[in-house]
Amino acid sequence: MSYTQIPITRRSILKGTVGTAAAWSIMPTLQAAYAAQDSPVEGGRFTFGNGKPAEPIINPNSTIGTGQNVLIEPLFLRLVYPKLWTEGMNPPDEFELEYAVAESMIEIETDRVWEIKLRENVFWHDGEQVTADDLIFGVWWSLNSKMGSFSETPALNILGGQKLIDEGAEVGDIAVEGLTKIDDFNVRLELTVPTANYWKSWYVGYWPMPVHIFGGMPFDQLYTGEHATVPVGNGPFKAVAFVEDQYMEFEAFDDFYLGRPLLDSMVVRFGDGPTLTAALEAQEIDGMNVGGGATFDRLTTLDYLVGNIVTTPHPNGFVTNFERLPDHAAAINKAIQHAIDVDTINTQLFSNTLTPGQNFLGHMPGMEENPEGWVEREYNPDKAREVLQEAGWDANRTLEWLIIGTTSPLTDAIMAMLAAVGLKAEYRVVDTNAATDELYRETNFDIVMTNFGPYDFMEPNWKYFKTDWTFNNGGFNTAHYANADVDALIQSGLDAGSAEEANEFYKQALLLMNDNPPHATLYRGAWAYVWNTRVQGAWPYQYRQPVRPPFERVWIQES
Amino acid sequence: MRYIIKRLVMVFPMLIGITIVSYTMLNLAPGDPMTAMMNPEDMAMLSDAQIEAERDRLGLNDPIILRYFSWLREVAQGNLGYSYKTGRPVLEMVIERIPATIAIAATAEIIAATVGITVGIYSALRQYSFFDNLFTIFSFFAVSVPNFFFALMGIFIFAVQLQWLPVFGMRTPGSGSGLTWDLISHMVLPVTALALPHIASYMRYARGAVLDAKSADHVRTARAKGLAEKKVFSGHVLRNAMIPMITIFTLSLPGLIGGSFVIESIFSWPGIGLMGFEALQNRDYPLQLGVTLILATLVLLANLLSDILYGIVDPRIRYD
Repeated sequence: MSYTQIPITRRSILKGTVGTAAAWSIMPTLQAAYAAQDSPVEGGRFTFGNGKPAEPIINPNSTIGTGQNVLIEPLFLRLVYPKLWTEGMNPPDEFELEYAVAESMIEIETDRVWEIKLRENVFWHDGEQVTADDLIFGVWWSLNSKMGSFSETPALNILGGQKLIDEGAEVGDIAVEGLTKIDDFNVRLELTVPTANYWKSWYVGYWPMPVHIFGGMPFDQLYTGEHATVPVGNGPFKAVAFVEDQYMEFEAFDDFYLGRPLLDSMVVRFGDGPTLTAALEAQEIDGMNVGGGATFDRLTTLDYLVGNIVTTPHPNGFVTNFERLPDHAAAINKAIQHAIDVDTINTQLFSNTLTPGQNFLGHMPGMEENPEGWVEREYNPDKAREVLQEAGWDANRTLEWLIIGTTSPLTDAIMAMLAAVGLKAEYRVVDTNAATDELYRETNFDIVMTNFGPYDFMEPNWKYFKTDWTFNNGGFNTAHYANADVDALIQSGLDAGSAEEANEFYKQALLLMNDNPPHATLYRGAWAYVWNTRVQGAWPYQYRQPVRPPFERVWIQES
Repeated sequence: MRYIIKRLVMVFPMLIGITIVSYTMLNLAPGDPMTAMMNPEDMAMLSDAQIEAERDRLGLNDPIILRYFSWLREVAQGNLGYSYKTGRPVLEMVIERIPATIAIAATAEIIAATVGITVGIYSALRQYSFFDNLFTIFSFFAVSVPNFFFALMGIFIFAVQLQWLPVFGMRTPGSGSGLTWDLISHMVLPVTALALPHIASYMRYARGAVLDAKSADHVRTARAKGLAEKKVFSGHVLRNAMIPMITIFTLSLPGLIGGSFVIESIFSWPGIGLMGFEALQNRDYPLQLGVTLILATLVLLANLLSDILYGIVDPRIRYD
């Protein structure tokens, strides 16, 4: 979970929202334009604008955010990627994996054990072949707590993984219980428990790493020097230069397993949102993510720029602090859902790009539809007042609304809507660096606007509402929500034998949470890319479709 | 010489005072390097022991006074510490960035002094003429408007609308190194934004100084003695008028470097200002203190230089 900031910040741009309806309404136009392009040509340079990496380390096993992920994706390949998803938020039932370093995968035991065959034509940028040892080393690295790293995409639930996390392992002691090398290009992978939708998740990352480079390296040298910023990867592009605060330069890798990319080179330039926006307009960069709203609208009126709306599964809404407001928090959540006119906000502030919806778990495969008996709370100020009155809410009481960063037109609009139904609130604005303390650790607020993770599995989603799973216990239940019945149902789901069976339990839990909501979920988010029309093959680009942006298919159409 | 030594000795307690204030204020700011560097999702996955271990490693669990004095001890040995974010020596990072800052600050200063003084003198010699009035209006405008406004307007007009100049950065990726047209084109907007307010200052001071000197008794005497107007101007007016310009010149140096915090951030110019700004955001205490120390030293040395030069050009001024 992270806090909500104003739309012009980079983080909020990433969390900026775009509606499914809007996305699909413009998609035919974009696809038509895409289809009408000339044949791809080789050569040229593609320049993408992005925020600075949070740390000068380009390595899948040390990632803190999008700034690094954008640089990692052209350089490193995962074992597999979720295949092209068709439409909607989640992969369809006939979901297929897109193989990268892996050539094929045989399921030995449902959702738990696989035998994986690696491609023999995947090479590191220094010419070495990618082998099973690299895969085992990469997974070992991502989990080994002594490596001093944190990966956003670790090998979740793998057998022996927790031991590596808890105890760590020393240099050279490379072994993962759940990964057995059969030969140089075949491994057996074993999870601790059957995990439905395991390979569908963006968060499950199996990144082979070059053991011939890092295998014997002391841990304190892993993230320093040339290998930190100009690493040897195995993706379509090779790292050429990393200039801190300025840019990272890549060139096409001739021996990429899918063939040499069309582009000769690629550059990611670093800057803040407004600077990059100006650079995009000045045609100094070819693409960036601007977020939905006025900037997106203005840029996409220019004839040389084209918008690309990308839906995301993050639910957005309010957290109300049950610890501070034990008798009223649930009612306040319901009242907020009735009080906020999401459609007007969508039209006025987000260019009709939001996806209204209150189902907190709709981003989990099989949970997209609201369960029978679900009540969607429509905008109705009278109903909001009624809910508050029934709960005995004192209209003279003022809620402390925690704002991380600065207020925005969105928060001002919502403040007015809340006031209109008798929910008086006052901003308490704190510095972004205080977010961890104020929001997560101390939960020092009555209400706060936030977005929640888009996880495909139940366990990370449960962190937002499981009793006592607060930040200090490794979770994100900042609402201090406690509902033993919900917890029991979720646990039953986790213990269930199949995804279908589990989802039935989750749906029952969802109904209980609908009646006694831990949060006031309001809508889902999206990203809004803008591309120079000379860039081909990069758009229409959809979040997770595929996960890895198809850099090798991007080409430049010179006018 | 005694005076210079005395002033140099005074620099040290002043620097210590500045670092104490900076250190205290940095530590009073909300959050700490851990919360600034790690996103909450990552942090929630660490155990208390891991968090404490990391805080110990960064020295954040020690009392602030202890941390300050251990930092000071290292500084006395020439070690400005290590950046929390990159783990690199602060001195090395600062030294790396100084040339970029000097490139725009020095260029801006040279342009500001040359243009400002020239126009100021021209204005004074043609007092109340059309050009004098025009330059006066310009100078009031340029002094009143903050330089970030010029920066943003420059980007809007010359980079976005006309597309004559680049929006940001120091070089186009892959354009080579050294002094190239690409580098110069990237410098134009930041240098102009930095220089404009200083041009205006120089203009006003130069104009005022020349007008004062023109009406001085010794100038009238020189004219009365029949000295040619050119000689009166160069030997008596200009020489005396330039004395305050030395103060303006040296005292504007810290302002230029301080102004680079804003200008470098706007243009993503990889100098010490941008690094200092990001160190503030990242709660990178050692780096921020290193930047502060260097900037404070420059300010104090610029003041000292101003006094010394003043004594050299004006023999009447003597320091005891």
